Amino acid sequence: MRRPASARANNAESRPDIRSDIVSAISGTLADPCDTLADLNGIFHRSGYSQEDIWSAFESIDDLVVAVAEHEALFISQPLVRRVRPNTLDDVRDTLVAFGLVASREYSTTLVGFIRMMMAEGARNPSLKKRVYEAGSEIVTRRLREFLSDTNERGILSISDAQVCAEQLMGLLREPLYQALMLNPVTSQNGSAADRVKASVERFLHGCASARSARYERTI
Amino acid sequence: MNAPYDTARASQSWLARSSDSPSSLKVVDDVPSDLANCADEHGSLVTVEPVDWIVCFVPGLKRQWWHRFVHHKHKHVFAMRPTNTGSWLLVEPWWTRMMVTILPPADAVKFLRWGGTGDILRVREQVPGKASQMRGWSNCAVITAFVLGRPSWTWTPHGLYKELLREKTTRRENVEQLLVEQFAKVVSQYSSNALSVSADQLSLPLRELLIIIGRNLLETMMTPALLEVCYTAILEADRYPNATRVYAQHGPKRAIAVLTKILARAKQAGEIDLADCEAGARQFLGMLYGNIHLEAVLQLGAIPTLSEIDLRARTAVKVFLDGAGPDETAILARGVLRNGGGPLPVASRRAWVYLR
Repeated sequence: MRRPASARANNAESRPDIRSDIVSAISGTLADPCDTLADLNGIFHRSGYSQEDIWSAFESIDDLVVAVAEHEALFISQPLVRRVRPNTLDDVRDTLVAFGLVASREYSTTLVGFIRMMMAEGARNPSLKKRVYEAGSEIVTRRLREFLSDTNERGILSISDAQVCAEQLMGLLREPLYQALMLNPVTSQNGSAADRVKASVERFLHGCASARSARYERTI
Repeated sequence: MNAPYDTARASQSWLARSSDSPSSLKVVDDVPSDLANCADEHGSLVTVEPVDWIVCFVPGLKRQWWHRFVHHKHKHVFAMRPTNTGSWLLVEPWWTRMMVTILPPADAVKFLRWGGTGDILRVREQVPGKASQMRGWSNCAVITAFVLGRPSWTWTPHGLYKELLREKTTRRENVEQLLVEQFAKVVSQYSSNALSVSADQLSLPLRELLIIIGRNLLETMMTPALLEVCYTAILEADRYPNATRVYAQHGPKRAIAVLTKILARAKQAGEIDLADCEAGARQFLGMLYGNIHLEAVLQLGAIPTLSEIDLRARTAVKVFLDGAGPDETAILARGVLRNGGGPLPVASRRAWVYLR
């Protein structure tokens, strides 16, 4: 995967625009639903950039794939860090819905191809798989955990384990990913994707126990 | 390779053998008599019923000088057998050794795909068989015929192919159908175990029932065999969509169906407020999945322990039913902390113990 050191141009810092252009193009390629049996070479070919272009901007293909994962993680977690610090449950709900909409969209498009690619390449290159996961999913989960911890400390939410709760919310939002990975064609569900995200966030915030049942359960 | 099945059959045969084994067996020195007396009519310590082999006649992977002398699609032959856990037993004669190994499903698919480029036959082995070790040159065709117990005199994979095809019980197979059959068998077996709920459990309060099912589901999802099947189902979704669909039908979809029924009952009993129980079931399953399922499928990190699984199941049920929003107990607890850490009100203490 790695280009010979003698030919490695140190363009990583001098050409940031090209790097981000390539990363965006690869992300766009992964989001393309026509993608089948994703392997790295096919994805690069369809991105419109030659291997020479990629070599000139990245030290290795591994670095490029990790950069794409970072790009996705930043994009998905933007709503969690960009917004004003929430003060009420409504603020928390708005932030989580905004985050959920982006995450859900990416999980049904770009990340489907990305996960398939990781699975295909991961068997040959386990360290790449680990780096990608750390740069992608782990970053998003960490930002969500920090958000939940903050809201918990300020008494807006009541959670015992922010990490587990963050992972649960990620699991809720990842449903389109599982659908796309396993069900072809994807099973139709009631309501739009936005409705499902809102419903998931509502479930996460309020649960579904009836008031009568919750009162009973909480006193036993 | 059907270990539990084979063991059961072997036990049955052993019982049969014990009752009618001759008492005057000639026991070889240095061999415990109990072992020697165990030997069946063919001299085997265990009697195993004949099973089907998936025999793959394939073109070469790389060009070799002798390829011009043999059939264009049948230059090599090897045999495979699915197990009950999703893996496959592979017996592949090499020029220099006999490769006998257990393959995880994703690797087995590579061999099956190779088989798909030639011809795949399902053949029942013969026990005790009529092959002979006196055949001489043991090429792949000769060794495969020997594995199957066939008295074949052919020297080529294509010759063996024609001989086996003439047998009435031989069937042609294709890769997708083999995967469909195996996924259905393995996944439905695991799902049944995870989703079986006794009548007693059904009468439990919803919270406790969901914890039991959630824990069973998580434990099953994290079974290495099922993770490997899931990995293969995802990886091969474009190539073999029917196999992936069967995985989903017998796995996640079945779990959603069972959870939907449980939630519908709870809704009827007034325990929960849910407009769409199927959507609720999906949400609960998603909470159980969390990150750990994807991490496990991608083979990142360690499989969670039973106590971790239990904690995650309880937390998922807690959030699913009560939500992460503030509740009275949390508010009371916060009030206590503000009051200098004095004792919690009774209700708060009970809720805390319950959630642990």
